[in-house]
Amino acid sequence: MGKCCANSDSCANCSRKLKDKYDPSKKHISNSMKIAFAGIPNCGKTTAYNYITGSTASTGNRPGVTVDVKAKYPRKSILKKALKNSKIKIKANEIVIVDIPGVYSLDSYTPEEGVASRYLRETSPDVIINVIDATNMERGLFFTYQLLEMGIPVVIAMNMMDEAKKRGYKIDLDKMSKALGVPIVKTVAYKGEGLEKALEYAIKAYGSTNIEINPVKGQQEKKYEMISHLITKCVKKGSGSFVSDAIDTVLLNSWFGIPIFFMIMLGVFWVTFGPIGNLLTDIFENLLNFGSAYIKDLVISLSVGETFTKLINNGVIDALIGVFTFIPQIILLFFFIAILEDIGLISRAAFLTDGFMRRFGLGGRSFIPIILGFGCTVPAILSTRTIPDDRDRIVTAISVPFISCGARLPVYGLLAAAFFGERAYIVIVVLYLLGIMATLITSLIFKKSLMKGGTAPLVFELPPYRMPGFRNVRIRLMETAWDFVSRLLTIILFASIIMWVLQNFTMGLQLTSDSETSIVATLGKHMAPFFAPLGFGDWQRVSALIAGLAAKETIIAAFQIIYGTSSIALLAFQVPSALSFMVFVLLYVPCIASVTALYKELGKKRLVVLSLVWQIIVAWVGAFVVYHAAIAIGW
Amino acid sequence: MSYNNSMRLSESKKGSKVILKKINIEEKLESHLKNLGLVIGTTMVILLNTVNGTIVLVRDGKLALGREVSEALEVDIVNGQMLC
Repeated sequence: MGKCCANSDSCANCSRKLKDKYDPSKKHISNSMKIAFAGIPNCGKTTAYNYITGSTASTGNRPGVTVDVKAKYPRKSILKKALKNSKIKIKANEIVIVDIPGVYSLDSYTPEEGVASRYLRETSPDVIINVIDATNMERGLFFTYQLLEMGIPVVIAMNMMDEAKKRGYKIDLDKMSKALGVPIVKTVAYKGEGLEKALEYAIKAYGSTNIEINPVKGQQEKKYEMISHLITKCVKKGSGSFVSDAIDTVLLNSWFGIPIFFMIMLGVFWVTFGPIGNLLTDIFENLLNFGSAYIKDLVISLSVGETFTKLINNGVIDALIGVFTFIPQIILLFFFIAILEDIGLISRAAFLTDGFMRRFGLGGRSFIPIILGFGCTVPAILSTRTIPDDRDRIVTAISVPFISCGARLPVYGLLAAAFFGERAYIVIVVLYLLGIMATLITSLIFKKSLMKGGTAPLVFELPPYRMPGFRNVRIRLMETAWDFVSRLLTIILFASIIMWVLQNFTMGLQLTSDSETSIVATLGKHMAPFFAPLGFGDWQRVSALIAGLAAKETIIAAFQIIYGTSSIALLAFQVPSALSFMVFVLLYVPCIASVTALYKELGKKRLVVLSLVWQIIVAWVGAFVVYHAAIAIGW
Repeated sequence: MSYNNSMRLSESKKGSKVILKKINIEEKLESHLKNLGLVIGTTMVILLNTVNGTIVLVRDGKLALGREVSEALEVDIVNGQMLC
């Protein structure tokens, strides 16, 4: 074990601060044994990491789901068994499990691969559990050879053995283990099979140098030749999947591919925003109303004073319920995105749209953040790390906030349902298309001006088709629901209380029942003229839009607070202003979290400011055009 | 095994088995292709050739290669090897 940072809250050797000491991802916890899961993309590293640590990190059937290094302590039950079998004495908090992005080689090609190779080169984990997909062994072993050359002890987890068996593969793991000079464990990560053993072997391997082969530095050809020999000796390959090839022939066809994908997406939107989504929302709303009425009565019966009762009942309960109502539709949308990803369709969409995206200055890889953006803008921005070309990556990150995320749904749900009834679904689909259009036009403008240059050629590995994993989908939905609830109980609750205070106090901090004299009205009135040409130049709606910067759902909460109920808020709208309001909500800055993610990815304040200014200009112009077009049509 | 009919990958027909002969592309991408297993002499099967690019079966996995890449790869078709 190392000496640095071992027993102190701050470390003189590496100048780290106390807070870092408890973050397992930090290198300087040098008295902990760092066991890293490494391997090529989409081989099951994060699934294995989740099982060992009890985490719920996102997994999916495509390369590039993991874009950052994650670290956590292993589950005690698993560690206990592994330690018992390995007969090594070590404290539970002295082992840290690390998950890194998938990488084909230490010479990184994309920024997310750079994260992985930097971690491996600079942090040097103590042991590597090299996860290999048994049905895609050659590329996996190519990376194994590079890990062995680094001199770090390696344990191989030969994963997806159930799939390999189904396809008729026969693998002599003992022979392969002897040839490579490292232990190999058979695993099925999604079931947890073999992972405890892999951990046990990793603990045993700590400190050893179990390399018995001569490294072949560089020379990709030579390495693949060695791998071919190894596989000839140790593996009897099974059959390929003819069904998968046949599906690809249809889905990736130049003529049918895009229409089929478009129909699938249309189906997703129809279920989410059409009769099924609406029915679920109605049921949920009735349940919430029933529950909230009971809680409100309870608050009144407590006789805690009129102001406090109003704050709780109107400023908190009504505001949060107004937003919470839309959770069934948000979960439905995330459910379908998870299914599409697990099947392997999202990667295929990247290939399919490559030619189309190039007309707008981007490649097919930029289409993946667009699809992910339908769920949430933050992971969509982070996923731009899988784009190899810097300019393409920056332009995609700047463009993707225009894609309509789940948080905008409550606003569409309220306004579209009120003004378009049965046709609300069509209006929402048009808004989604408008978001895609704004993304593509933004890309084109930036690639023709500030970010001039070609687009990186498309090269990536297509994932196999897989049945959606129930556990994966369940984890993703639980995460979505939890994320929504935690946003509701933190950012939205906080913003709602602030909004209520601003609405009920004057600039002189006197309690007022006349909202026209409130702080929010005073501030809103200053900004209202800017929005007057868009059809909503009053302080109430402008204030709601500003509150929406915290999180888009807050707009609905703000309506509840400012107007008393959402239905009264609707009286302020007519069809043209409802449309322009929805367009503005679609196109202006998604939320503070997205701005932070943008800064993290772009790394330059100048670019972030440019992006924000651009979003506001596009939103204003878009809303202006829609408002006046709707009036001209006579709506 | 004998080879003839040297051509660009983008010109090869669906179902044909080809051997990679030359990579005419910038160094960084060439290295990435090699890391993915597309080294000179590698055998691959063309699963699909469309306007967007080519899908090849190579080393047990499917690689999606954009048009630009499939035009930069020179291949030899293996005599009489049409697999589907």
